[in-house]
Amino acid sequence: MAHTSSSKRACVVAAGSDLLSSLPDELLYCVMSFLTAQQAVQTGALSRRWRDLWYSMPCLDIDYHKFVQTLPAATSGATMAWRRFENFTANLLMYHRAPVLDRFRLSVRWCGSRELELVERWVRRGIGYRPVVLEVTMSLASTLKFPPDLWLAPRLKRLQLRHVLLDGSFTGLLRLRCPVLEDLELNECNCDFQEIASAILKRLAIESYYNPVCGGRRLTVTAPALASLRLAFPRCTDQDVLLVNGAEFLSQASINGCLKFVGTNLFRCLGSLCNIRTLELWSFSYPNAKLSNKEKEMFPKLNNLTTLLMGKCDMSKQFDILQLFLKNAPSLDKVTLSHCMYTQIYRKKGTLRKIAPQYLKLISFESKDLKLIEIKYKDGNASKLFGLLMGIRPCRRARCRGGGATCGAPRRAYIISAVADGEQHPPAIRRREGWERLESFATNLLMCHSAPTATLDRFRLRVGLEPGAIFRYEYDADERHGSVLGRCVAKHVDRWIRWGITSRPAEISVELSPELQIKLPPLGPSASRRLRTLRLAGVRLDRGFADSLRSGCPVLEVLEIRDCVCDFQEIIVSSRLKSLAMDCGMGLNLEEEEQQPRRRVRVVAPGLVSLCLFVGWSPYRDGIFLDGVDSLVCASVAAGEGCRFEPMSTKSLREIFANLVNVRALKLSRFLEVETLFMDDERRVDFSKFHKLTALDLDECDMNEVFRVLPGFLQSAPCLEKVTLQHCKVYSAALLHGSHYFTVFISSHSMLHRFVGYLTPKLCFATSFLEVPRGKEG
Amino acid sequence: MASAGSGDEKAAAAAMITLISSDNEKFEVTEATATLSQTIRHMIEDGCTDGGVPLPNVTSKILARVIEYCKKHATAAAGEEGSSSSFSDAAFLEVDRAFLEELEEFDDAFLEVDRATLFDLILAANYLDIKGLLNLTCQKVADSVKGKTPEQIREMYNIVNDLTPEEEAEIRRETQWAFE
Repeated sequence: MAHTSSSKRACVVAAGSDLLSSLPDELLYCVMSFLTAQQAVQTGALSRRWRDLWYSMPCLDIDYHKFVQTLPAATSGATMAWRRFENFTANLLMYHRAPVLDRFRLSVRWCGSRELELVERWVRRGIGYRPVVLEVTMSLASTLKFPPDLWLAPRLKRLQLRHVLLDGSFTGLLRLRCPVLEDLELNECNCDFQEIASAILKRLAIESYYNPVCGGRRLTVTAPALASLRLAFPRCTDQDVLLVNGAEFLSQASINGCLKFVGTNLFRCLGSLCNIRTLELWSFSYPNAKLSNKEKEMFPKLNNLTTLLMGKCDMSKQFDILQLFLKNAPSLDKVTLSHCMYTQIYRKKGTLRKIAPQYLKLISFESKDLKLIEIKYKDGNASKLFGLLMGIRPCRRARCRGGGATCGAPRRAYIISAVADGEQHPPAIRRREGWERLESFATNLLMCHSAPTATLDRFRLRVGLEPGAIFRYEYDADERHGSVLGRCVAKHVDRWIRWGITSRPAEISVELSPELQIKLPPLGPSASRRLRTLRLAGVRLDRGFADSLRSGCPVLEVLEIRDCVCDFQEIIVSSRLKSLAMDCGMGLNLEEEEQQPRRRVRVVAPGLVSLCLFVGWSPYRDGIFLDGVDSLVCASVAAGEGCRFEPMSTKSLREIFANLVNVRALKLSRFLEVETLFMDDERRVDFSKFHKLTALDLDECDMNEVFRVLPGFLQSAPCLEKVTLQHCKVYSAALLHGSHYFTVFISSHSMLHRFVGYLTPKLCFATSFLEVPRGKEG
Repeated sequence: MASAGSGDEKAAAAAMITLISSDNEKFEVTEATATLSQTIRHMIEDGCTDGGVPLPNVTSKILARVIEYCKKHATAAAGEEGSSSSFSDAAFLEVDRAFLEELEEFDDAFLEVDRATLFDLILAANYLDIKGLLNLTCQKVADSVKGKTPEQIREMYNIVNDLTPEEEAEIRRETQWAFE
């Protein structure tokens, strides 16, 4: 009833105002700290109020298990889940910008060798946040070593590690690098240290139900400030496993010790816990049925002990111990026997009545303050037994704690190994190492780079992989023989570019190897608001890119597109664009070229001052159409290496040249057939347009062609002041593909004198480099 | 140290503090209960609690609930000195478990309130600096949105989506990795 009325009222209130969003930031952070990182990031899509909150939330809870859960029950679930998880974590740690954290929690629970590197990186990043609470959970068989090489945790108060590898240096580092650590919890860690020493540690828990702790050797705990202690290593068989020194403030302890632990060793240990108030002893048994009197005398006085729990013990042998506790702990007021067995009686039911009064006597005579004996059980017979023994109603709580826990993490091996280019191919390995180094550097940089302002001035990324560098990797059952490194590279590079875009830089420069086939992530409106310079090489561009150029980049001034695969038909930019450089699809592969209809790209750039075209094998066979480029004063056209134009593109180029009416500087590069560009269909040279041309630069052109076309130029460009010939080649058709060229500096080559007659008075020759085939020098 | 602590506790148990809500209602509580609030603890330490502690940001209705919470948890804190950690909610020792479960049951029942009261409790816990209560109430809110899509959360808490469709699309694009 109460519930329905309250929910009704909640609806009424909800109709009124948005109570949640009106909370101050720190309270919303508090709410978000109870969400997984994934959902916390999702709140960014709620409203403006929420948009940027997650970037600075102080608690990150990253859990692989959540990614497994959200998957539909599919066969390749684990791989898919891991991929999503990895993608999520890498992105989160890259974008999240809080300088420090309150809590960093990373739970992986599944880990192969390749993943280990990533996890190490995330852990390092987590430590880099200088969190107050750090929790890392790995899978059962993981070999994650903690701590990473360089770490400093000046604010760390609580450290919890599960299933990680801790070597001998761990505790020393802990003391040096964690000056305020109060709470340390190691669960199922593979520990290889013999000592824990800390002056400030208040809580310590070491549990290992699977691994023998400390390689079976002795563990010494020296922690004078320790208040709570929980140790569990039932597998350990060493007599001297535990020594606790100077723990006079220790008020509660739980020891789930080794089988042989009980005895003089236990008594010595208890002796050092002189102020203990709560003590739990789990799963131990004393090898001898009877304690000797000498041993009994060694039992220390525990004056403050008020609560004692004995769990999972075989009580048939431990009554003596219990008796000793009752005798030596005068303040004891509660004894709990949890899941204890009594094998002797269990076997011989006939002896029940005989033992019961003896035990009742034990309790009533030995301990005056005892108020409560509680028995927890799992097994029905045992409970009945103890019920008889104690004459009290057993507590019906049946809960099991301890070694029975199972770890649900999938343990499928996740192996990456080089297949084609193996050990015998050092260059390939070098390349791979090169990539890995780059990957590691870039990801770490972007992850740890948290500019105080959320904007960058310049983001420049260059990933040049040599052709063939992406070799094949065997990945996983469902993705055999995939080019995994390629995909892996692409994934990382894509992520870096996204990072670059979201950091709202004024300049983006991305130069990739076209082999990677990476599509440019969308430039969002807010991301591109500040963008002035955009240089792209080797990426794939789609219509969305053209759209964002048209509508989203209000201050773009410089645009450069090279070696890109373009899938748009027009570039429309604002009048702010001053400089445009583009080519069309050098890296296009033939199959796709076949599929693409021949189209032309239309460029509308009313404010353009400088144009630079690279003309090669273009997806736009119909060429580039420039619309309204009267403002152009500087143009450069470069052909692809050895490019011979097809009629269509020649025509298109001619159109372009016809548009360059106001151009003052023109540069032509690598034209082997300059002549055809300037001949119309009747093979008549038409240069009437270049009224304002003052500088002409011919670079790497065929001199024969140049000689043929230059007179026309000189005639039709009355203002021409400077002609530069650079790296021009003189070769006959037979030598076209010859390889032995060298460069000579010629100040006044005889051949150039042929043009003197055409020179205007103002014209002078700039420094000219002529490339002459070796044989022709004379 | 232990004996000194218990002496203090006895003194604290005797001392009573008067809390005055925004609508001028007075509540008498023990010092042990009141000091669960760090804000009031500092006031007590500064010796400025004579004549009552005015709490202008908390109504009598909410203050009554807060005191109910504090009473329950103050006895817990006294009984389990040192065992309750501010970092971890899980029981450190088995013997604490039953006790913590009882507290949990209390907390669950305590949180059976309507949404407006819940938010008032959050604000009060924040103002009074009662960490346990703040975490409890914030967790309740977090639990209610767990596993929900942004649309569902908006509907649930009446959050007005003031993002333009382009902005929302951009956010979704930028954080697409969190929606997979």
